[in-house]
Amino acid sequence: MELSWSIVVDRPVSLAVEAHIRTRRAVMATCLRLLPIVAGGLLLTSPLVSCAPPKASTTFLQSVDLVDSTEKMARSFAQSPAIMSRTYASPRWIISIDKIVNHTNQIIPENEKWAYIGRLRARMTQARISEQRSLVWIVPPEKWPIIAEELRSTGEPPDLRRPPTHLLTGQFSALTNTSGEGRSDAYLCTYELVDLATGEVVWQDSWEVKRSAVGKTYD
Amino acid sequence: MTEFVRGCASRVARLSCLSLASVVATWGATGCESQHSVDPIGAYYRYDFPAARDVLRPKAATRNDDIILNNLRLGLAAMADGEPRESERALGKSFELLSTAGLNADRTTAAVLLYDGVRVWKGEPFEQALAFYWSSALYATLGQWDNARAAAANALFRLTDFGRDMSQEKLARKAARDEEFLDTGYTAVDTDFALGFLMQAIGADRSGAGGSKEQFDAAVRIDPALQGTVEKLRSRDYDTLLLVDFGRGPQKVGTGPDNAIAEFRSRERRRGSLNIAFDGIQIEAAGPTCDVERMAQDHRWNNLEDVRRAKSALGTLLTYGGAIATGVGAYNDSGAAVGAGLGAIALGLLLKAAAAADTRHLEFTPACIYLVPLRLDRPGELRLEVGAAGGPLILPNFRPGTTQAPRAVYLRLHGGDTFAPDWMSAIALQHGNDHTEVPAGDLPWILGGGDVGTPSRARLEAYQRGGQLLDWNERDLFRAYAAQGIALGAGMENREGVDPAPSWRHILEGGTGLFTPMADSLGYKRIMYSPSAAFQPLAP
Repeated sequence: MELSWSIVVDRPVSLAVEAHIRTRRAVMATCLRLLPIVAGGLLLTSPLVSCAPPKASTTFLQSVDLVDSTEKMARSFAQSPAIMSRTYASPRWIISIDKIVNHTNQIIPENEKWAYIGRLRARMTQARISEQRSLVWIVPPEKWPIIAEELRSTGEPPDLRRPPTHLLTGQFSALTNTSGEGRSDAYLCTYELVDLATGEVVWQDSWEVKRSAVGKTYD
Repeated sequence: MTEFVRGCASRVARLSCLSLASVVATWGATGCESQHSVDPIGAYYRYDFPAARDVLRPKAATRNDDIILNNLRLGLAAMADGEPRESERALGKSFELLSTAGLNADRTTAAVLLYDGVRVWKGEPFEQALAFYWSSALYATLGQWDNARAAAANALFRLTDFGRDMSQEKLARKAARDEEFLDTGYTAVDTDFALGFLMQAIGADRSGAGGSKEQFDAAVRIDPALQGTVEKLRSRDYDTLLLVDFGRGPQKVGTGPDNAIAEFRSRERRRGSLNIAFDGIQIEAAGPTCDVERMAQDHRWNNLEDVRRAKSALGTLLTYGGAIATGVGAYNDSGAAVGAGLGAIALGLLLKAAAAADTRHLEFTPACIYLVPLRLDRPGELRLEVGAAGGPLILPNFRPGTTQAPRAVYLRLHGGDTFAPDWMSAIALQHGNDHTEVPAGDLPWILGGGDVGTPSRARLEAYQRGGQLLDWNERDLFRAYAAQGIALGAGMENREGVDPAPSWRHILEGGTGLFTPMADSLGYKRIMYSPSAAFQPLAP
């Protein structure tokens, strides 16, 4: 019934008016088709120009790596034959810790360099290994404030200024690959404890991790 | 019918205008950066680095599409000012983001449809390489050679080479004819960034990492004129490493149809050797190690801008195509054709308006960079000048490092278009500080003297040796500064409810911070060699 009515209404309309209506409809349809594009453009733009934070995912070492590597190295150190063979009555080892040496292609700020070794030392202290194995940890006194700040520690360790018998060092290296597809960094972090009297490496271990990111770096 | 077409055209035009106006309004209302921040740039080129930093600090902390650009600006201003903490933080942020893969990956659609400005600014490849160089330079000045090497290594990425005598415009024309050209028409070539190789080699040599020999070789292979410099560096026959940015770098502008093609234009008229005199004797006339203008104008060091040109071409095509369709439709009395044509015009106008090149660039880039190793052996007066451009910079009582531990110093000279302030050539120290002894009989500036050294027991004893503050103890000295609301250290104000910003500015320059910039930096020279008015204490 409605269809019939529609036809009945349309028939008397002149050709000129019919063309007018078709043109109007075409314009309206085009405008309607454009609207989503324009609206979409505005929607796309809005969050971006309203200062949305850009996402960052790099191949660099993060704080989680600091925790993981020092946990594993602390465990390895504590379970090494050189340490396991010691008791609280053994001659005291005074171990000087040095900051790690950065041979990666990532910037590692000074406080982070100290934090890697500093946290290792802190784990030993917490685990009472130092007491049980007669170990004393020191840093170059002038560097203590950097570690203290990073570890939120106050005061100065009592043995800080004693002459060391051993040296604990760390060296971080990386193999970096970059391409149009992305970037990858394979890290090798090596720690070693050296007897300063003999030059002997009494403990050594390393921690490895690979990070990769997909996408152009230089776009 | 003609009137009707006009009516339709008018309505579509209104829709287009409204759409464009909406876009513009959206951009304007959201409070993001405008393309050209004049104030910090003007301040930077007046050697007023503190003013530039004041403006840039909050911008650098805002996470928007200019975050890398603003952090680079802040980092460079702070480095020139001799403030390593702020510089390290800002350049570190830039370094991290520049090394991030796919930062703009999910923004392509927005860039195509609207405007490249919605992409996170990462700069042209040459700007990225320089950003890594400046991080390297900063760590060199801090004596952290391992980090200097690490930062420089990132600057040595490969480049896309489309052949000799290629310009941005030629590239665009070829790309317009051949859609595959930008993806397949290039060869990936090794970088020719000799400065990057030099910094990597110096850092490797000084930090014990391997590879310095090959890196020095690479620098000389790229630029044989560096042979003398490299020999000095290889043999470690230097105790001082000068890293000098000179002049105003090139400006990025839009050219061609719809200003769609980006081009870098030279701004520095005066160039030449960096002349260095030590205690009145000319010891060096060093040529530029890096010609930044040449890099900027080399297509290998520029982005491909394929999306931009595609947009421009599409916008133009749609505009003309739409106009033709409208005309034909009107002539044939075809409403559908008219509608489609008008729609295309609207879209074309929208895209055409968005086709202009993104001309954001790092305005603090120099025209050229000098890397000069020197063997001085003793303290003395160092004088630097590039031709007669901008007057000399004199560093009285300059203290070199040693051949085992050389001292790197970063300096920013603006060139002939910038008025050289008096302090640049001043030789009389006005204020004792952390790098100097307390002049005999002097007092802290806040107590009527001229000394602005950080309070300490040693400093107090020095005042007392000169017959001053005899009945004071260390705590009294600290209290005197605290009573005036002075923060010890740059940016160290941390009291609740107190704006920390003024503490980045020295008390001698109207701020609330007491600190000593890095020795022989421009900030140090400006603050310590400029006369100042007497301290005005807070009302009790």
